[in-house]
Amino acid sequence: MSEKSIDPRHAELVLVEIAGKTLGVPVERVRYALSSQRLDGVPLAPAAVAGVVNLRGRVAVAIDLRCCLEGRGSTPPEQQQCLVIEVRGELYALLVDTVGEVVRFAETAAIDDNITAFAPRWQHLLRQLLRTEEGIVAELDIERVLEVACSNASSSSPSGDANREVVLGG
Amino acid sequence: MDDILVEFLAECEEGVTRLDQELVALEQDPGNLERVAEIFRVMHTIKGTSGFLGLARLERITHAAETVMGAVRDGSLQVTPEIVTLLFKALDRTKLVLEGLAADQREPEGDDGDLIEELERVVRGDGGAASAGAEAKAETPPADGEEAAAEAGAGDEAGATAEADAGDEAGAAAGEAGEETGAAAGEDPGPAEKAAADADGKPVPNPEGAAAASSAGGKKGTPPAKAGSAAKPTASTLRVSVALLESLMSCVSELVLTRNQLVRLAREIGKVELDSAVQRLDNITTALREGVMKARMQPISNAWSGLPRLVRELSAALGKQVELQMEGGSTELDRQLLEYVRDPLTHMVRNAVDHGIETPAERVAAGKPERALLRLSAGQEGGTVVIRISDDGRGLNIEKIGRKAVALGLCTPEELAAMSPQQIAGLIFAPGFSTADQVTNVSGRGVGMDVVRSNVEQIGGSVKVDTKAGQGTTFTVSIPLTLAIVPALIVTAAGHRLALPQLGILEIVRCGDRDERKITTVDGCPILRLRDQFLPVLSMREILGLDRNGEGEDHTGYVLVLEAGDQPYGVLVDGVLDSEEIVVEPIASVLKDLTVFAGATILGDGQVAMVLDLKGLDRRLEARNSKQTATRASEEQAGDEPAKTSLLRFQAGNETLRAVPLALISRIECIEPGRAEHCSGRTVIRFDEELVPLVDIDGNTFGLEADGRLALIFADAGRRFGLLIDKIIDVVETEIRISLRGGPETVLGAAVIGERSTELIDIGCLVESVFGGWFGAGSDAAGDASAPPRRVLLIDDSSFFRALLIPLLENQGCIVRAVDSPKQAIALCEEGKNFDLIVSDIEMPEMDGYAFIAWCRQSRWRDTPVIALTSRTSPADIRKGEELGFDRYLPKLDQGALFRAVEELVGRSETRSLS
Repeated sequence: MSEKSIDPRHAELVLVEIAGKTLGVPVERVRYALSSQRLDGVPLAPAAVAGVVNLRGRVAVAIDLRCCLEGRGSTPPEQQQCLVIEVRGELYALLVDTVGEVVRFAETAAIDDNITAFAPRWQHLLRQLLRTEEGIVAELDIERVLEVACSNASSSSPSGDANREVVLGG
Repeated sequence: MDDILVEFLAECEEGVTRLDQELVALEQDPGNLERVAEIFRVMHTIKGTSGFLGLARLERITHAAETVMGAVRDGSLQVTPEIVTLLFKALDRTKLVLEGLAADQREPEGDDGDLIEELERVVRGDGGAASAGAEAKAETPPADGEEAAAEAGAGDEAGATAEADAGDEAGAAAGEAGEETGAAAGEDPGPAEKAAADADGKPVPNPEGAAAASSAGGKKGTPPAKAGSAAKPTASTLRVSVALLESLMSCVSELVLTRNQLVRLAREIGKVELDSAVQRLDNITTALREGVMKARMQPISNAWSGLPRLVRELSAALGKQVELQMEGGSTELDRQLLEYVRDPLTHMVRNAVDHGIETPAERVAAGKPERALLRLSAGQEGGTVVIRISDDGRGLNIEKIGRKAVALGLCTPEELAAMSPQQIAGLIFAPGFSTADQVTNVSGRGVGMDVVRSNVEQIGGSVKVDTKAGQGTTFTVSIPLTLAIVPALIVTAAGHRLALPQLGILEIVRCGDRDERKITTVDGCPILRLRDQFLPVLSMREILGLDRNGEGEDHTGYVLVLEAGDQPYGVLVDGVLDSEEIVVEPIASVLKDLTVFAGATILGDGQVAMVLDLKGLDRRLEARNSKQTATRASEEQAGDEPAKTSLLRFQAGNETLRAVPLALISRIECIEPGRAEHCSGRTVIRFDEELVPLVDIDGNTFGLEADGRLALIFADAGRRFGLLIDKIIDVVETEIRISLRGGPETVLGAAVIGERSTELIDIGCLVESVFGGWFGAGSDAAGDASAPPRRVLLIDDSSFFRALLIPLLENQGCIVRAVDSPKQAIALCEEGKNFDLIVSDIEMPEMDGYAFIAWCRQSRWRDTPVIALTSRTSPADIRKGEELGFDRYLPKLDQGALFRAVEELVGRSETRSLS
């Protein structure tokens, strides 16, 4: 962990686990993390849009990350956790299996070495590989995720109702 | 930018806007001293402040203009259009300098010598004649220069002091007062006193002293003692930044949501203590929300302040005379919305002056006053503000619009033919449409009515046009009072809760199999009959793609009747839950493609509901309409449209829809088993001691199975018969347009009524089949063979009138041959047919009744009596008809007159009656 190459903007990653793999989301994008929320379905929405959710008085669109990565969602949304991110003033709730800890990362790892560990569909949504305290972590490309979520046709409208809230520890 | 400068610019903008209006008003009412004083005062204020700020250029211009107004005020100068124009010129120059000032924070370079010279010349020219009063001297150039310098000096000095002791309001007041004294040195004491009073901060609408004081005091943290002493009586208004208001508003929005949530929770918990606290919170929230909303409101006159001048200049440029009347300018509207309506309003006013209003010569020729009237009115109607712009000009050229729409490919000629004038007029809102053949520099600036519409719709409003040829055009713009918090209806569809802004909803109708109202499917599209209209119905489930599992069409639920342009339509939802004030959050970009949603909102229970976009629904409807070109069932029609007829629609024999004019039916009988009798093979029923023959839909009169069926009883002059039918469907009011002729004899033709094809039954033919033989048999039986039946030729292009007249004439013992045009009558003549009497309509396409009688009197039929039946019954028409050779000229609906004429012309005393 050499201090010199730390990009101050991407100094930390929030780790999330999805389909058995660990991915990182730049911490400055993240607002907070919640356990699963009650989702209200949106008719006609793309498949990757799991619904809309009331986050402390603001409306966020819930994105089923698994659906983006694998083309279909298999875990019921109520068993998932939300990582709430903000993109250009809009709130999105990323549905993931678990939200993990926050790690500092040191440097960019060589893409070629490790990216092949991910399926092509995943690769498309990854921005870069970063060497962290916890090993090499792939950073999720949020913009791409939203693009993919947007373009996915057809709708699904699940809903859960748990209402517990977990505030992410630093 | 310097705070003081910002303040000054804001103030000047108000002043300049005000002057724009006042000057136009002054021109129309030159004698109004109050107005003169007001203009003087505003100019003076700008002058004073610019002097104080050391803005020499601005000061010189306003000073010269003020001097002119001073002369007007003293009565030494008469207001003429030239003077007003000159003052406008000065005003424009002022604006120019202000713009430069706003951009660079200093006055732009430029020479105003010519303008000032002009202004001074006006005053001098008159001042000289007025024997050089004291004020005239004071306003000669040298004095002017000195004064300006003195003022500037005073201002600078005062300003410096003000900076030093951080209390510039005192300096301002001092500078103002000092300058005022100087300026007023040679004037009579009255105005000087008044002006000084202004400077002292007497409550006036636009007290610069107060504004400056409050801002300076607030921003610089001056101890209030000083500021208070200078301006305490006037600080009743305060400028607040828009950003602050916006942030307040968003706080209030969140508070409203939290309140909704709390109210709901309290209801669930049911604790009395909690209830009363929540109740109080509820009241306070409502009050706070109203207060903040009110703070955001601005009078609509802010959006149309520039219009009087616009109209003045446009009409002058176009050589037109236009009087602009404005009403309801104090109607308030959310400032955000105000910005959206400003441009559309300007555009519509511009259009009205440019296209709508004629030149004075044209107006005189059309019998209208030379001076056109352009009315602008605003008012609140429910939760909306309605703005109307109406002119008394030439009206829209419907024909031209139609042609152009076809040329532009906006609609096909067939579609155009099916449109009402109202709908055609609405085409001007289509993208890329503009009626001006040439793009004028007035209206044709690339902004068309489509931009007007999209601007208005963007804020959830609507715009409609109403026009009458030769009488004028009215544009009606409706906009919601505010966007921030919207009353909405919460509805459900397939388990989803959705919010629909109440603004577009006309009414809610419960529909279901067991309810009075039912949705029927026509050509696969659901239709709801509501009173006399057929509304296309969109299913919310279908719109939202939620109908996958429902195999059969379930049409139970509520229909929300919405208005799209001119045509109302329905949206079917499963249930209506609640009405709630919602705060609409913009839709996330991921969902932007879903045009049916305008945003999302958090409901009282914390759930999120999508907010439906009425525009999005409209588009759905348009898409559906373009897929099926069904004729509209009924539409509002202007007074001079073809008359509508009430038709009773029924089924008889098979599933085909058939119709007869309701007016011809005297009653409807249900025939109980055993009631029908057979009388020499004919089926009859007994009815008030009278045997009424029955006929079926195919014209059969023998051996009918009548038990349990319905009979429509037709009656005329004591003669009746019944038509057997199976089922009554409904009654529609429509214009009869037969689109398909032919078919069985008893059918006049097929027409599309209420989106379904319907056969119109020829009652005349039925009468013939009932009484043709009966009549013969009857006369034989009665031994009454005194005269052969009279042969009558009936010419009328209206199937309705033919249907009406045939039984009437037959009742008179006539055998009627009916044709729908004089051409056919001529053909009959050429075939060698002869008639005892001809009854002809006058107004017919191709060849009218006049042409026919002219032909007739030259033909083989020259001696056949001809009766004209017409709705044209002016004495001139009657004279013309009789000169041309009609034997009688009768109004269309006077049966008695017709019978008398028939008797007189082909007399046979006896009138048959059936027994």
